[in-house]
Order: sequence, then structure tokens, then C-alpha cells
Amino acid sequence: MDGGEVIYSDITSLFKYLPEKLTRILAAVPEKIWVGATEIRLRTGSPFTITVKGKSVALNNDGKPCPISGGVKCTKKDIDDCISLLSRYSLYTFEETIKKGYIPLPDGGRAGICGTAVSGTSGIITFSEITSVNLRIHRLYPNFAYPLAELFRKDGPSGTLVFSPPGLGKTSFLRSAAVLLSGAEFGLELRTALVDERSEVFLPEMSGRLIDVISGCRKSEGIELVTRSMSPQIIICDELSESDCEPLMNAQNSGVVLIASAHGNSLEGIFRRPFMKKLFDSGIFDYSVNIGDGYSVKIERI
Amino acid sequence: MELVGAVMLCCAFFFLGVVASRSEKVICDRIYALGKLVVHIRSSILATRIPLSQIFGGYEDNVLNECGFLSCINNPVSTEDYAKRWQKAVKLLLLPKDAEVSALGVGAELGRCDLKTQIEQLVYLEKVLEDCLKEQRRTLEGKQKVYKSVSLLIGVVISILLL
Repeated sequence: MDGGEVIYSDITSLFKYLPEKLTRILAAVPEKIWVGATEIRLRTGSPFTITVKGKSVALNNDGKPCPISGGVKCTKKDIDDCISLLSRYSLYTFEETIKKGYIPLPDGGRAGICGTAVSGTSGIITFSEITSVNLRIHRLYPNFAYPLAELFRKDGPSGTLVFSPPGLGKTSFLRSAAVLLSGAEFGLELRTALVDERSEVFLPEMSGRLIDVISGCRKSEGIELVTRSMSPQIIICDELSESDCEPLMNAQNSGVVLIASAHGNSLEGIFRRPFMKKLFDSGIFDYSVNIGDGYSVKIERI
Repeated sequence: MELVGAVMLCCAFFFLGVVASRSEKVICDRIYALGKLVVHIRSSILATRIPLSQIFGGYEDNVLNECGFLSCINNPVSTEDYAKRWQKAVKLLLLPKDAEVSALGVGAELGRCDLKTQIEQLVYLEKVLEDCLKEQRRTLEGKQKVYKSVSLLIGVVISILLL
């Protein structure tokens, strides 16, 4: 990541989803704080915070950081107004994603929500009251996956597993991989399909590349669909789970190269999970990418 | 001359009666138009899940346009959500009390609740408007006759008194 250009999501693009009381405060926040900010969090009855380098920072009325106890508090009305703005005044439109705890934003990214859930036989049906909102500030580090793109340029594309503990940049790596592999920089220009189940990988800044995006559906369905209909050369997906196993193996049988991520500290730990072992045994992955602290990237042949 | 004046007075009052009776019909037309809109919202949401901005933006109705309901809902400079806009717009319709209370109640949650609840509320409002419209139409003819007769009678009485 050293010397790598960073393209920030325009922070002010999130302002249209926040009540005026909070945007006035955010507009006064110093630039040096925004640089490291990853989230804007609202909680009913609690101070409104931004997450900077993993720490929650409360803000006073002047937009200056202050102790949590002194921060401007969010009221129920603030949360309701925020939800109205996020849902474009039509909450029913996001019925399916609300059940999964998020509202996708029209310009990429998503807002996580939680509160009082209403459950049925098949799980959460809806929320009777939303009390917390988490607006993610997304960033594109276009050269993060440079080592992988360079490797593919020399040896050809191969199945790759990206792993690390949560919060170290797997999703950012996948974004960069989608950009570099589908772009002309490395002479690859591969047809890339991004299966973005929770609408958090693709950003508007990634437009203009040969990337087909399917979002808002289960990964297993998305993988099958893109394999059948979009003839991708590469499929990229985030956070593998057991249900993705069969579709991934079927896609591999179709000759598609897979780049996927999984949570884990080590390959041994990851492959102790039966479905990951199955994927490994099928030969889907040739390389592993371990993302470490400080966005370090270590690529090894599996 | 006096007779001409008396006739003109009677005609004037009769005209007032006709206007009053037409206002009763206008109320029926507005209830009907609102009912049609509610059906449109419900079927659009069920079929497509499109947001309210698109549902209202693409909707045309002469009656709702004339009384300013659709302009209020589709106000391009408004920063309020559709629940608030609906509340303001319904008041422009001057509906009978029961219909207005129900329309305001449902409107308070417009765009703010999940799909199932939203549909249930719209179905409820449809029923209330349907019943209100039936009641209004049942009494409409009678009211129109009463307005015209009473206004003509008042005109005649005043004419006689003045003469």
C-alpha cells in the first residue's frame, strides 16, 4: 500500500442520508480526522460517533472530538429521519435487505442497521424499531492487489484465497483485484464478475472497468447466475460460506478462475472447516493471500 | 322592473344552490380519486416495490391535480418525507371527517413501515374510502335537491319581502 493512491468515497455523499443536525456537525470535522474515518454511527439516546482507526470518536456541536460523555446525542427522530433518507422514503422497498440487517445505498456501499427484530419461522422478518445505524465510509485502494495482478500477468490467472482476521482489508483487496484484473494496466483486461451479496464490495469509483456486478442475492445464486449468463473469466466474491461450495466448484469446472475471501488467522485454521477443506481438495485455489497488519500482503502457492 | 328584479334574485339564489350542490359532488369525486390513488399505490408496491417518488411522480389525475393534492405530494423543493407531504395534501381534499381521519392515520406511516404493514394499511384505507363514497353517493341526490330547493325558496322569500 506504500505510495499507493487512495480514492476516497466522497464523505459528503453520505450527508444526504443524515439529518441536518448531524451534517452540520460533520461538515465542521477537520480533514485530518476524516482521513482515517471508516464509519459514521448513530445510536438512539447515545452520542453520535465516527470510527477513526478503530476507535469511536464523539463530536461536540462544533464538530470537534470530545469525550464520549460530552458528544452530541442522537434522538429517536434522528434515527427515524436517517432511515427515511436511507430508504428514499420507501422503507418497504428494502424489505429483503432489512431482514439481513442492512440498507444498500444507491451510490454503492450500505448502511448496517439493528434494533428490535420481529422474528418468524424463517428468521427475522423485519425490525419493529431501528435503534442503530452504521454508515460505512468506503475507500478504494486501487493498487492494493498489485502483487497479485503482477503474478497473474507472469503466470496467468489462478484461483486465489484471500484471508485475514476481520477488519484488515480483505474486501479492499478484492476491490483492487477487480479493478486491476479487469483493467489494462497489466494487459489482462479479464471479464470479471463480482458477486456482491451484501452490496459492500462494489463502489462507483470502480466503474469504467470490465466488471459485471450482481448484488442483493445469495452468493450461491449469484455465482451460478453469472457463470451461466455472463461468461466471466474471473469471479470475485467475499466471505465464503458453506452454501457457496457447490456453485464455486461448478464454476471452476466451467473454467472460471475464482478469487474469494475468508476470515481466518491461518490457512490451517481455515481448512479445518469441512467446506473449506472440500474446496481446497477440489483444487480451486492455487494461491493464498494473507493480509496482515498495516495492509501487508503475503502471497504463497497453496 | 320589480318583477325582473325578483326573478333575477331568485335565479341568483338558485345558482348559489346549484354551486353548493356541485360542491357535494366534488367531495364524491375527490374520495373516488383518492381511492384510485390508494389502489395504484398498493398495486405498484406489490408488483414492483418501486419507491414512492416514482409511484407519485408518474401518477396523473385531474381531480387530485385541481385541488393541489398531487402538487403538494410531488413538490420538488420539499425535503419532507412522503408521510408528512401526504398529511398536508389530504387536508386540501376537505374530505368527510371519517375519511380524513383514516387517510391521515395511514399517511402517517406512509413509506415508514415494512411491506406487509404498508399493504395492510392501504387495504384498510381503500375500504374506508369505499364505504365513505357509497354513503356520500347515497345522500348526494337528496342533498342536491335540498340545496336547490332551499336556495330557490330563500330567493323567493327575499324577493317577496323586498317587493
